[in-house]
This record gives sequence, structure tokens and C-alpha cells, in this order.
Amino acid sequence: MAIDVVHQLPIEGFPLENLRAYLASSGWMEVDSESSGSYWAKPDEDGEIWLPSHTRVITFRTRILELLRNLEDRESRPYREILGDVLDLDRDIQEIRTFPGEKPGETRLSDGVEAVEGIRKWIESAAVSVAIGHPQAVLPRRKPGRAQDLISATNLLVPGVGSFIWRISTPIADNPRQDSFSFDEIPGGNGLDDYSRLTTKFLYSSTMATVSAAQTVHREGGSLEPFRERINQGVTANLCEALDLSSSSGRSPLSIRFRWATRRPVGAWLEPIEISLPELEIIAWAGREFRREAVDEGVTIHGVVVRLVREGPSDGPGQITIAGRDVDSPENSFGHYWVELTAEDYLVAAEAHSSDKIVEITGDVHSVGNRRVLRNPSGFGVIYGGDELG
Amino acid sequence: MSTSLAQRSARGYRNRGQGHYAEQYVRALASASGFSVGKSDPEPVGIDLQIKYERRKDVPWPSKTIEVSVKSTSSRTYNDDGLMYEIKSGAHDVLCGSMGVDFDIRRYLVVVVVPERLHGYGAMTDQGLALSHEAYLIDLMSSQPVGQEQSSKSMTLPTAQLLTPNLLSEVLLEDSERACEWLSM
Repeated sequence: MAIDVVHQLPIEGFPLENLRAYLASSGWMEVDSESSGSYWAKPDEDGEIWLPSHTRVITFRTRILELLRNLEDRESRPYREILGDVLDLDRDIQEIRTFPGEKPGETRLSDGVEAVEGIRKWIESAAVSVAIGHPQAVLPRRKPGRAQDLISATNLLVPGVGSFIWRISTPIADNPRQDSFSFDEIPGGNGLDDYSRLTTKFLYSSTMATVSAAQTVHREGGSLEPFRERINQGVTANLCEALDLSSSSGRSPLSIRFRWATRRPVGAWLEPIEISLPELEIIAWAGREFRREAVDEGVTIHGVVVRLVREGPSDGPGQITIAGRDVDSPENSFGHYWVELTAEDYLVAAEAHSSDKIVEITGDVHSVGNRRVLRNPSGFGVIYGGDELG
Repeated sequence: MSTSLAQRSARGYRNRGQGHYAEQYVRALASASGFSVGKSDPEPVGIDLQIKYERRKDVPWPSKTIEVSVKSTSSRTYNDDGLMYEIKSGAHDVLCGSMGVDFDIRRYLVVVVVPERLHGYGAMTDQGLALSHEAYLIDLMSSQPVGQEQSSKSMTLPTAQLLTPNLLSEVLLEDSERACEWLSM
């Protein structure tokens, strides 16, 4: 019964102005007004709706519910969804629908966990891309501060009706403002979008670009080139990986819809983004290929020396393997890093290995097959002793 | 002698039929006056119908709405001022209040006086269908609520408040000139 939701509305401070803004942005016009309320109509459509002016009247809740039901009929979507848009006037909403094949409203726990992680990475990919301001195939592990702030402010909402619809809410500024970004290729960026709105627009456009690349590869076969061509449109390994995770590693197609904050509507980009299983498979492959090709520059590793190999004279250079983490992305990057060291550094490594000391090294990480190879090493040394690396 | 179950059941059936007829009487009169009639969903407590004039392109008067609570009686007892009527306190008090403070839409009481017997409700005449008998429209918004001290309130429905298309138009449009103009269209 719908009335239970409306009865839960906080009447004190109910955002009537939000409702007015929502009606205005949805094509309704105020045609008449009295001190106690106003009549709204849509051009060339029959029927008016009544919007009370004051929350204190005894009929306020019933009027709001009647209005929502009217909108529900007109817009062919649940009134709860409409109410959510009204209350969250300054947030962009993204909906990712998965198709887990379970009963409506259910998804396996493991799939859900993967999907949520994928969604977080999806938002993160756009936030970081916009913040760094220039295109690159693999985003840096160190996230700019404003990207972290936006991700912290992004909420996961109650899933939508259907199975299984994840809903994400991103705050935007309450009015357009000029902000400075160097990433001028963001479609629709008109110099008046705040960072958050630029990010959500970029999320849409870069996801569309990724799907477009996948469709090209699916149609014409072959190479990574369609993805490389769209790096300047925001296609990244991170975005590809995020979409793959969101689909529970390719087990579910995706249908993505964007709802733009009612107070600041976006005229375009209303079509949902549909991604099929074959396209997701290609996108996952593209993500791996981008990683394989990419170099992470200036990565600092802390770890223990687990392997020493030296061919040739016993006072010459050698190769070591460090089991450790990238200090700037510790949650993601535990692994084994292969490094060529000078003779002098090799001795230090041998000592560290025999006494289980933690070492530090900085360099450029390349993915070579299944290995992470750290090239251009610098700053190698012992940082502290004992098992202090968790 | 106590009233039998069958008698009480029959009375209840008649009451429901009477109430239904009364509501349709008001609908018919409002529709015949050229106004739209409907029910809110959900209905405000105590309100039965919503009568509305909706702005038209050829008649650019502002939209207007009133809500009515429809009651019925088969008792036709008059005094010098009009029809005597007893209303339950709850039904009375729900119509008391101020615009903009308690109510956002004006609300009125309509009492339909109906024949005692069902077969008297409607009759075909030479001029067409005639619905019996009459109705009265009363504004209780400025009245004092009765409260719980009394179960009912006695009131007189003035003859001047006989519900006609003209009265309904004046009340709804809040303008007697427009009401005349409307009914002459």
C-alpha cells in the first residue's frame, strides 16, 4: 500500500520547492495558483494536478500521494522512484541492472559482493579520470583528493524494483558553477559543470565509448585498436575491469540508466546503456590487455626479498623477487615484483633476505606475462627489520 | 419489541442505497452544471466528492475546486428558516477549519433530502428524468467544532442554500457574474 511510504515522509520541512522544481523540469507548467496551492498542467495533455502550498494542512499527505500517483501513471514508473527523485534533487542517480537469474529481488551473495565492488570501481574510474584531467589507458593508483571525496560522498541506495537493480547516488552542486578542468574533451562539458556533474557525465560518456569499442571488436573481430582509439574518450583498463566485476565477472549482462538531478537536468543521455555478455567478455579482455601494455611509473614497493638469482661472477649484479605491496595502493597490489639490481644493491638484498628485513624500492612496474617487473629501480634499501609488513 | 436482524439488515441496505443515491444526485447536478466530478485517491477523511472547474482555452477563468461531504436524510421537517437536520459531531467537525491553515481546498456539507422509499428516487416525466427531492449546500468552515461532548448537532439548512446549478456555480467559481455567464453558455 502506497500510503505507508507517504506516512513516513517528514512533513516538517518537506521540500515542496523540490516538488515544484521536479514538476517544472518534467514539462509541467503552473497554470493557476491560489494562496493555498497551485494547479499544474502539461501542454497538450488533459488533466491538472494540485500542489498544496503548505505542509500544515490536514490533507497534505493525501494530496502528495494523489500527486505522486498521478505522476506514476503519466511517467509509467513507480511513485517511490519519483519520490526519490524529488527528495534527491541535487543528486545524479545511476542504476545498474544485473540479471542474476534468481527470484526477482534476489541475487547470490557472492555475485552481489562482486557487483558492488565493480560499481565502486566504476564510479572511481570516472572520478579519477576527470580529476587527473588527461586521458590514459591505466589510471594511477594514487587517487586525487577530490576523487576520494566524491567517492566517499557517493551512496548506495535501496535497490530498485526488479532483479537486480543497484542504485547509486552522487551529489552534485545545487547550481551550475564554473570550475576549471583541463580535460576539455568531456562531452557536454560547458565550463559550467562542477566536478561532480562532470564526473557523472564522464561516467556516462566513457561507458558508452567502452561499449562502442566492444561492439566494434565484436562486429569486426581482432585487435585492441577500437579501445585504444577511445582512450581520449575515457576508456581505461580500470573502467573495463569495473564493468567486468559489476557483471559478476561476465555472468550477467548489464543495463545501465542514468537519472540526472532534477534541479539540473541534462537534456541528452537519457538512453540506457545495454551491455551484452559477448560485449562484456571483450571488455574484460581489453582491460587485461591494457594492463599488460601499461606501465605504472614511480611505484614504491615495500616487502621482503623472497628470491635471489645471480648468474655470472659472485660480485656482479643479480635479480631478486620482492613479495610486497605498492605503498600507494596496498589493498590492490600484493604480489611478487622482479627486479634487476646492481652488485651493491644485490648484497643489501641478500642481507635483508637472510635476516627477514623489510626493503623499499621505487621504479616503473611493467606487466610481462604473469609477472610484475620493476624497471628503472632506485632508492633500494632496508627500511626496518622483522615481520612488520602485514 | 426488538428490531429483528432482517429488519436491521434491510434498514442497513436501504441506508447504503440511500447514501449511494445521494452521492449520485450531487454528481448528476454538478455534471449537469458543466463541472467535473470525481473522487480523490486517497480520499481525505470525511470527503466524498471533488467538484472542479478546470481552466479552458475558450473560457480562461482560473481553475477552481471544492470538496463536499454528502449526507442524506429522508426526514422533511422544516422550521421558519429551513430544513431541520441532525448531523453527527464527527461528520460536522471534519468540515470546520480555516483555509490555508487546516484546509487547502474549500469544503462543504451537502445534505440530500431523499424520498422514504426507493421507488421515489427517480421518475420519468415529459421533460425527462427527475431526481427527488432536493439538496442543500452549507459552509461549515467557520463553524465551531462540536467536539466529543455531544454526539450530534442540530442545525437548520436555509432555504436559500437549496443546491441548484446556479448556487453550485456561484460557490465553485466564487463569482456570481461568472456563474451566470457560465450557465448561459
